[in-house]
Amino acid sequence: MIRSFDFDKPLKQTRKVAEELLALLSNSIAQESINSNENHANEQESSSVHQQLSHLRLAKARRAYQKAKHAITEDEYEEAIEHSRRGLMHVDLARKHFNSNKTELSQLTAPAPQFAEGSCEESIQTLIEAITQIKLVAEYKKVVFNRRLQERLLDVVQSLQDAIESYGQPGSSSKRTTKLAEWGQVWAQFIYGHLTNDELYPRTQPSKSLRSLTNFAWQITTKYSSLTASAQLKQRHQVRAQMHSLEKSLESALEAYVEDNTNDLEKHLRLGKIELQALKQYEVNAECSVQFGTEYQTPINFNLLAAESTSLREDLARMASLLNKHHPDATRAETALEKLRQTLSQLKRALKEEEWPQASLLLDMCKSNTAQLKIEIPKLDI
Amino acid sequence: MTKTSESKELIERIAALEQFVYAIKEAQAAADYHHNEVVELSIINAESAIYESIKSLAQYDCCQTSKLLNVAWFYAKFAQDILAAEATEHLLGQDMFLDLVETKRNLHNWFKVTIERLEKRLLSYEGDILDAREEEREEGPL
Repeated sequence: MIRSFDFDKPLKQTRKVAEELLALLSNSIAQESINSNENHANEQESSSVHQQLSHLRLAKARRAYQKAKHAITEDEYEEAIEHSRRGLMHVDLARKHFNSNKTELSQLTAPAPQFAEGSCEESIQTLIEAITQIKLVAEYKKVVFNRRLQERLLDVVQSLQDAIESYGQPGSSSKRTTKLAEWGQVWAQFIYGHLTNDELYPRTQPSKSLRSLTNFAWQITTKYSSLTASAQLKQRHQVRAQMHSLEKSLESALEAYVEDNTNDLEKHLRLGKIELQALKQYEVNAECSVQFGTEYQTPINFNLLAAESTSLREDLARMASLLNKHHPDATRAETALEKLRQTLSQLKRALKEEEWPQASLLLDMCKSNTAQLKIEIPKLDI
Repeated sequence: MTKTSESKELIERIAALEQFVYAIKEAQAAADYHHNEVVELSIINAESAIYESIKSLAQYDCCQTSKLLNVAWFYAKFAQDILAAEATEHLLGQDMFLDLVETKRNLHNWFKVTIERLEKRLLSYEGDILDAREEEREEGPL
């Protein structure tokens, strides 16, 4: 019955059509219900069919039937026809599920669509693969991410979510979706470079600008890793500062790319490459130290980025944003934190200037605000 | 040769995707060594996209239906890939999983550690103040 129904055929929005469809839906539900019961009575192995899915679809078909019936009683024929069509689709799905064999997840590849090269769908798929690759490598190498890299990773995962959401919006622009996914791809390369020193994508990326961005992200991490692995490097702080500056250049270049600002994109990439040259100088210097050094030093294979921790000031700034995001009524907590951040910096100044009575007073204020925060933190919705 | 109707093809895709998501759900339930919030969310999002796709197909919008099925596919594929990566880590590694979202457990730990760090810093400042006062007392007016 349901098999012969043509879902493509446009229907007149009349009472007659609405009632005919309702009758078809009612009969189809009954027939499918009988079929599944008959099969069950024949003791067909329940594991060979998607019985739960089939039952779920039949339940939805019944709900659609009730809605269609109600719409007809209200003389809303257009609505009734839509509910009936939906109900018939549920019945069709129930039948398909009931008649299908169950397959192991590892062997299930049937629904994989083929996406056109350079399409926004392909960009999303590339990002999914990039994130999975990062996860596999990080787990294999037992890498514990520092806060900075972890936050980059969270942003990459968020960009995937944003890209998929943008793609699913009716009438959405595929350009915006692509840019969101590509933003994630570039930072994924940055993270992956830190883990492996390798490139994450083939060199045949369709977009030249994207290729220069991922290439720049990769080059930063390669140079940085080779430097930080050098035991002879004396200027660790300078290298770290240079690295943060390069990260900023990448951020700005990427922002320009997302906004289609080619001039700014090229400018930031050029500036970034100048800074990369400076990193090379440190590298040459470290190599020279190896040549002329008199004492043998054991290589420490020390990754500055991994060892880098955040400052208390940075952590308190992050706390402010988390309180704002997760506290159901953040005002009191935010006020306490804001006062704490202010008095803490005043306290540091007072200590430096050896103004002990003032410092003592500020310390009490800091303690009181910390106590207030400790009351507020358990109220977070996390 | 008869041409398969577009809607029929889409219904076939819906059925296949729904079974795919169901298989992922079963795999997730079996992966009792780690509860992954991203997988859980991805499954919810995939199911929601499938539900929306049926609604749009009932409104003759085959283009939007197809897009929504791609959305469901992206979420489902992502969940499947993460589950596969974690199964590998569970079988061959030491169950050290990389979280892809800020988990509640991590957030709780972070707040605890940050407050402890803050209190430690305040304690050290208090020590500095006490030492300075002690010195002042010792050097006090004769």
